[in-house]
Amino acid sequence: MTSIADREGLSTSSDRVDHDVAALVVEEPGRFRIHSDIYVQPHIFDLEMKRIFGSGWVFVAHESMVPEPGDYTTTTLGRQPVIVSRDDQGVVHVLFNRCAHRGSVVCREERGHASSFRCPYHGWMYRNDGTLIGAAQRSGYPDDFESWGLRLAGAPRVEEYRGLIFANLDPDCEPLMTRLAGVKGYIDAWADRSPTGRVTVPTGSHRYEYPGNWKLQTENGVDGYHGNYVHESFANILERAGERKASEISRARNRVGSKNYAKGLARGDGLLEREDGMLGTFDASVYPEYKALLAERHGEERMREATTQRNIFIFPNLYLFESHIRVIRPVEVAKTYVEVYPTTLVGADAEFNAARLKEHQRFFGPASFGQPDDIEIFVCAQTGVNVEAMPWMELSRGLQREVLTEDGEYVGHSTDESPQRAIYREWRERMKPAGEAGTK
Amino acid sequence: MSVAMDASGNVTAVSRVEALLYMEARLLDERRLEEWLQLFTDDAVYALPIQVSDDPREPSLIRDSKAGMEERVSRTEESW
Repeated sequence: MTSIADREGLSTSSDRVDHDVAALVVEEPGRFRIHSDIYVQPHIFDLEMKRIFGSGWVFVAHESMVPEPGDYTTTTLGRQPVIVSRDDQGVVHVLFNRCAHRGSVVCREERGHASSFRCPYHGWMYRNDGTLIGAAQRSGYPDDFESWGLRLAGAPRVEEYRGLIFANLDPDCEPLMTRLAGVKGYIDAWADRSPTGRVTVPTGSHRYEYPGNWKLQTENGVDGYHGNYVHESFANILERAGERKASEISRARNRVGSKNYAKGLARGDGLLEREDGMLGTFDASVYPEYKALLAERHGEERMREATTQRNIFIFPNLYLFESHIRVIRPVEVAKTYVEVYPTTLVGADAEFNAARLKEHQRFFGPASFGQPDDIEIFVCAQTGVNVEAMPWMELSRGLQREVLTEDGEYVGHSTDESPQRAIYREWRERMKPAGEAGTK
Repeated sequence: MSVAMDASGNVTAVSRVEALLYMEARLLDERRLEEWLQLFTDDAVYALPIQVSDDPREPSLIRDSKAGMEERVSRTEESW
């Protein structure tokens, strides 16, 4: 295949681009490859913003960010700034953060409480449900101004499951629960780590920005293959602290036949699952009182299911980790923001939650021994994918040994690339031109 | 560095605190991290909060115990 870069200067009609996009994910018997253009080409990023983030269900906020009427938080739907606002009646809206007048954002805060938003440019005022309250110096507009229908437009569909709020810009989209059908059980297990089934997120988040494509983070959180290499120093930290032997960790990651899996689900979702814990970052068995409390609330079997360590990816922008909610925010083709919100388990005691936060910050914090090494790798990968003579990425690991279950899950060894393949099957489907794609 | 003295000519506590902070800065600048660790008592907490808040649920950039500080120094100093 000719790389799109080779054709620079030629016509890039939408037909041509669509054809190219379909050819960027190549699935053959025993082999799965993706083309580097998906990490470096701005026009592919533009299409992603339209077809993936501008359509379909996208995570916007956790309910604990907007618990009371009048609470709001700001984020982005792809590149489009939005306000997630709980109006005075308690209904959550996802409003475009864009004045109907001249385009300025009307809210510049990350989080807060307000019954209205006032545009900083010319003072137009909007209620927290998006209704235009009024234009400043109204007499400059004609009598029928109120009939123009000006307001903060928003996502026509906003739905929530277990505190996770999603938005969809397509008014005719499928219900959220249809979209989440394949991953629902895992979301439930994640939420049931809390004795009450509820979690909250704090005011502050760990936020990082890296000069690389957003998909590098999507692939990495379900990658059980890189730990022995990227996180070798963390294994040494644990050995030094007398918690685990580095050689044991390495062997545990490699072992075949353990109850550790990488799973690719329908719709681009996937997970990394390790029944024996996450090799040092957090181990529920160290907290017997917590496990007993969970067993009392949810039953023994449910407790085991809930305390299995999982990194759950929900396409296209959400991760649920044991300790946190992670949101991927594409900014440019090679620029990404990631928001990490450590969770508090409502109903677990404060000391236990503090211990979880401490363990979290040891591996996932911005000055920790884990996450910064991943970010360094994103930069390495974003640099390398500019090599045009070697345009293909191999995502074939474990294709020959993974199993497709009756539930439609591709289950591989925990180091296999089954989840990444699920991401790119969905990516290919969603990037098809309108009319060809399946249900959104 | 000037030294503040009280009316009796004693070096004041302020001066001793200043001297300690200068010493800490020097040890960090010269990357003498093992010596830097020795400035701290065993119950030290080295914290870089995100929010100015005492809420223990709020994340920090760094919130190290003495053991955590030692871990950080060893990770920084050794080539792993």
